[in-house]
Amino acid sequence: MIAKSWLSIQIILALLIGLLPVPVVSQAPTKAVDFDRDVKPILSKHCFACHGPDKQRADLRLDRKADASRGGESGKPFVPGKPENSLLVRRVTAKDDNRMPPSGDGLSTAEVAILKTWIMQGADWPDDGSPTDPADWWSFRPLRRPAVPDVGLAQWPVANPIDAFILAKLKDKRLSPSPQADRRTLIRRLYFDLLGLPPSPEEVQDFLRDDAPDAYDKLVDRLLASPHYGERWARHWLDVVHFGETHGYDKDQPRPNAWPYRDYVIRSFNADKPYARFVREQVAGDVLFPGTADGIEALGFLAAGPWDLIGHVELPETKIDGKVARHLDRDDFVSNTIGTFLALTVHCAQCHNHKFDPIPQEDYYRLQAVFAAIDRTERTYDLDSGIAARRAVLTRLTVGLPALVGGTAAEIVRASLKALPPPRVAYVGAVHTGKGNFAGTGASGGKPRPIHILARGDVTKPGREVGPGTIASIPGVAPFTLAPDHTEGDRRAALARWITDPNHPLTWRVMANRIWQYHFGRGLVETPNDFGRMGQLPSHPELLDYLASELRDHQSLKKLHRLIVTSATYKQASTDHPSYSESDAENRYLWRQNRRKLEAEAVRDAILLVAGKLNLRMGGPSFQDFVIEKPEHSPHYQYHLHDPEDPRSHRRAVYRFVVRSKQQPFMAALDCADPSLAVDRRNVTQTPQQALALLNNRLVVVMARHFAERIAHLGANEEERVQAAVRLALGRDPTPAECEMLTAYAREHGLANTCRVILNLNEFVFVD
Amino acid sequence: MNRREFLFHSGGGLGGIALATLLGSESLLADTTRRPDGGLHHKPRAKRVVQLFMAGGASHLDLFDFKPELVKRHGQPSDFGEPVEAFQDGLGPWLRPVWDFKPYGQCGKPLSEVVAPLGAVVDEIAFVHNMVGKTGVHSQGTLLQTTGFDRPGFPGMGCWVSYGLGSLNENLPTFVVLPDHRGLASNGTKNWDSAFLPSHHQGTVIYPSDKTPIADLFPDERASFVTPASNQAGIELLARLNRVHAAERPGDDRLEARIRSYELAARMQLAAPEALDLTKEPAHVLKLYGLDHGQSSFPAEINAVEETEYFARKCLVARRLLERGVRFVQIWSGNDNGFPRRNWDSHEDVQRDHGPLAIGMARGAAALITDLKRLGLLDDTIVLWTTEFGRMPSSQGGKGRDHNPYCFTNWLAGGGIKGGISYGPSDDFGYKPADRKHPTQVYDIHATILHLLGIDHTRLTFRHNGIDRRLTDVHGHVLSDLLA
Repeated sequence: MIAKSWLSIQIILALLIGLLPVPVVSQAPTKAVDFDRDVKPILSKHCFACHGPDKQRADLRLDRKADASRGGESGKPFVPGKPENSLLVRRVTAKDDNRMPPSGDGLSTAEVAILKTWIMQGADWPDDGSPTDPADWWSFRPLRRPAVPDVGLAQWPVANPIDAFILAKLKDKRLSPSPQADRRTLIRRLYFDLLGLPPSPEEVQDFLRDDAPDAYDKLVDRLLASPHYGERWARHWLDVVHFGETHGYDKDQPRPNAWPYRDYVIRSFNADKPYARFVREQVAGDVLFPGTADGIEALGFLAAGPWDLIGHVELPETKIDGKVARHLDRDDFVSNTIGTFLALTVHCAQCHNHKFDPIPQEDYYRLQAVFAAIDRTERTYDLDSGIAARRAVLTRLTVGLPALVGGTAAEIVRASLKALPPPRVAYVGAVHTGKGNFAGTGASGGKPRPIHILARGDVTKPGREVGPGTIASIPGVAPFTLAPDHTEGDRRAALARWITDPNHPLTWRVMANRIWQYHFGRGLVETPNDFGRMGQLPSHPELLDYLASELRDHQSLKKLHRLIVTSATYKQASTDHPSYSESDAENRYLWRQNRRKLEAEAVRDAILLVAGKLNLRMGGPSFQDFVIEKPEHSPHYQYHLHDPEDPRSHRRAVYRFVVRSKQQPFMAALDCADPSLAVDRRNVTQTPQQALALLNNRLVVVMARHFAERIAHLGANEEERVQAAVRLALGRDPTPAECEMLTAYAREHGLANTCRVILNLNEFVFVD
Repeated sequence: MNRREFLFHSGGGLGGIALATLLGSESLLADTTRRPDGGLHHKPRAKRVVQLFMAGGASHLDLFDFKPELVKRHGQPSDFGEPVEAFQDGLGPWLRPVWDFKPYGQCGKPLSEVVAPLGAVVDEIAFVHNMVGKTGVHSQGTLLQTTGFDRPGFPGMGCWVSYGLGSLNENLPTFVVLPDHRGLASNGTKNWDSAFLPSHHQGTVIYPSDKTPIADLFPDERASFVTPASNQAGIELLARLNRVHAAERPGDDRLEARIRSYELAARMQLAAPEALDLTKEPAHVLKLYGLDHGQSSFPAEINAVEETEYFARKCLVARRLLERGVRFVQIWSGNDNGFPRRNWDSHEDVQRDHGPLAIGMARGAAALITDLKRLGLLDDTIVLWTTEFGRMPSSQGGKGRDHNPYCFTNWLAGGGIKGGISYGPSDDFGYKPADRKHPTQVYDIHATILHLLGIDHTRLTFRHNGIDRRLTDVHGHVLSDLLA
């Protein structure tokens, strides 16, 4: 935001200055030229339209000192003291096509004279605060564990270091924290937060009755140990990496073997896998952790995004459209990797140097070179290393044997091969061996395709070839170099190691911020996918660095969760405080907890759970809540033909088969993530379409009936049944007034209608 | 932080925005306050848009862009004077337009006989013959025309218009999509999804002839327990309970916004069926749209009457929606580029596959323009006809044409567009623009439409992942030659 408002000030200034009269010629040659008074108006009048805040033709920006000094594609615009050697002067005085500005009358003789004099006199450009070094930015500074502030507040226990940082800032802003939420609120908050499911009435009662001082901490431990924790948090991760199970684009074909990656993510969260290993597996698991299922299945990360089947299969790599498709494909590898782990908008550098962050175009293409050998493809593997070894030997024998010995031996080999359990298949980013247009690099042993810097990102304008590399100017982590005889896997492994270098300033901050965001509804940095200059500044930089240091040092996401959810900050009530919301309407400083609307998955899972229909079986192929028509050409994913009573579809939403070309309408109405884009935060809307979906969708009405059948047995009369329904859905007893209204309605219209109303309550979809 | 972003982040999410939307104060959302005249940045010429999208790649050469040179050289080996990359094997002999052209209207614009009905309104239309795309791949080409980007993940034009200008009638969706009922075109709903914009800006799909034209508008048939009385009483009970809940939680706009969303939903349940009910349309209007054919079943082969029924009915529904304040309607002709062809991707036989689609399209589009004019709506309603790319002037060896992303036609009418003109000629073969240095791109079409709606396309932005996104990316010029 700072960058933006600063920019607009610049624009306003430039406009104001532009209105001032241009100095007359007699002033110029002898008197000292003043940049702001004399030069800037000329630049503003003639240059800013194409080389200013809005456009930077040829990468040149002349409205800010730092950018102007750095120059553009043609070089630096001026050499102090040497007007005749300065591009600026040469271009504005050129008589040919090179003249700037390219149209109109151009600069007057007087204006040219001012520019020349200014350069002659040393091209003095007063400091305008523009960043001289793009790498000089908070998120690129070394990560150091800050000291925990020494604060205290009698009425608010500082449960852990988080609270000290929060309290220090609150005091600074003349705000005070809120009291702790009641236990019933806390358990519901914690269940949805850690598991994505509501607590059962019994679980609520047990917690309320537990007088032990560590009752809450025990609850936290129990939930973090629950396998449903991994399901909940995997879904967040799948949003960020834009995981989908169809290709997208034209002829949106399914990926029946994409799910192993989803299971890998769930498993990794549940196992509390060290974060660095989690990162490394997803970029180069096959190289760094050979012989493990995780090392293969994690590579589904690379393949998570969309893929243009036509551009790869129907068009050869030699055609322009084929080149474009492959360029976009590699761009997705690069953007997904750098965006997910480092929160940099590296894709901005495919046409030109990044306008705000220290990412030259060359570095972007070096990153493309890291992925230049791989494609999205299916890979077979064995979980059991013994079987893997046997299969490898037998497969080799089937090729070599028949020539050596007779048919019987060959038959035995083939039979032994057949007797092995079938290999597993996962859709991953890997070297592909195929036929026709989509041949991949397998035939050449995974030799990476040559990568050229593309002028303006245009595949028909390849420039210099570049080798593998990464963003060179991030302080503290040296870019990697590879021996000349390196393999394609070495490239990915080197990138993975570079990302997970303990000294990397971004990796730990980015993940700590993501975790924080899902606990509070907003990150300490509100732009979790952009830690660059166009992103937001952290609200609590020291706290973020503290959490990031913790993560870097212990590598445990579960420890991070525990630290957060056991803080007094987290446990605050979400009640509004009018005078505080006046000065901090967004609750940036966390003087209360945020009331949060449940995500589409949590709403759906909660509906199924309270209806008694949720099947908690984990893992395996995704359920399909659609019917595929016309699979032969372009599959039509027909959600309206699916039977909501199909028990196979009563599993948790994280196991839903995610189609790209047609989002699940019910889930989309509830703001679920679009698998075609990296979603770092869900949108939160309240729309009529959403109301209609929750009232009328086939899944909801069917589940309302099941819910009614369930509570029919949970009471002797309508009043008791209504009480049971409210307890199941909201985790509390209804108030007498609520009970009376609901019971009267139930008597007149039946329990199914009553349950439909309850599933639509604000309280059902919001967590205090 | 501007006002829009403030609202976006206030109240822990989109509460502010949703409330503003629901309370009919959408002007809070845009960069600048919406002007009293309905524009965002300047006085608008138009309020509404209807976009007709021909999925598969409609041939400019056989419909709107007459090339006598092709008639003259028909059957001769094609020679483009430069190496050409065809998508398939599209460099066969020159292929003349498969239908004859003759001039129409005061402007004398030659049109193909297969789109003859458009002759009656040709003086309202501005043709743009030098459109260029970036790719001959359907999916990327389609996304480029619908969202301004050649990869998925960007909001459709209707979403941007909804985001910028808001609703004219909150009882109906702001942006409605009428897909080809036989299937979605390339990219499916990606062509109208809201992507990073809030979800209420996404296109609401309506299948006017279906039993349930809008998903979930009414309780699913499995909910036999829901009666009109139980529904009505249930909605009232829900509101009462929600109000108690909200009263205990002051200061959270989202709770009130959600209560209001149920009221709006109930109003949409009344407004939408009324808008889609064609039974009250007089006979002369049904006749205008060619819906007086009296047929209730159709042969298996693609045929003109059936295509007229499908396309023109959508056009009539669109008119009714626009009339009632829907801001943006997108009508699709053509499905998934599969076989048998129910799309414009005529690689095999232009006459067979373009023919019935073109007749139906022309009948519906011409009726729509006439009807909007009759009702005084054409003055502030823009009609845009588009497709993902054109087709080659050469054949594929037979009767079909390959993709031509290097040149195709768009046309616009109404809403401040100068009628009866042809802008930006293509070369003698319709292979590329006559002036290759100055083609028209989708950004220019989008910029022009936004301009007519009172929006400066460079200032309608939304920050996503570090970039202030625009419908027109970093491109686009208003085509002032098209403005009346």
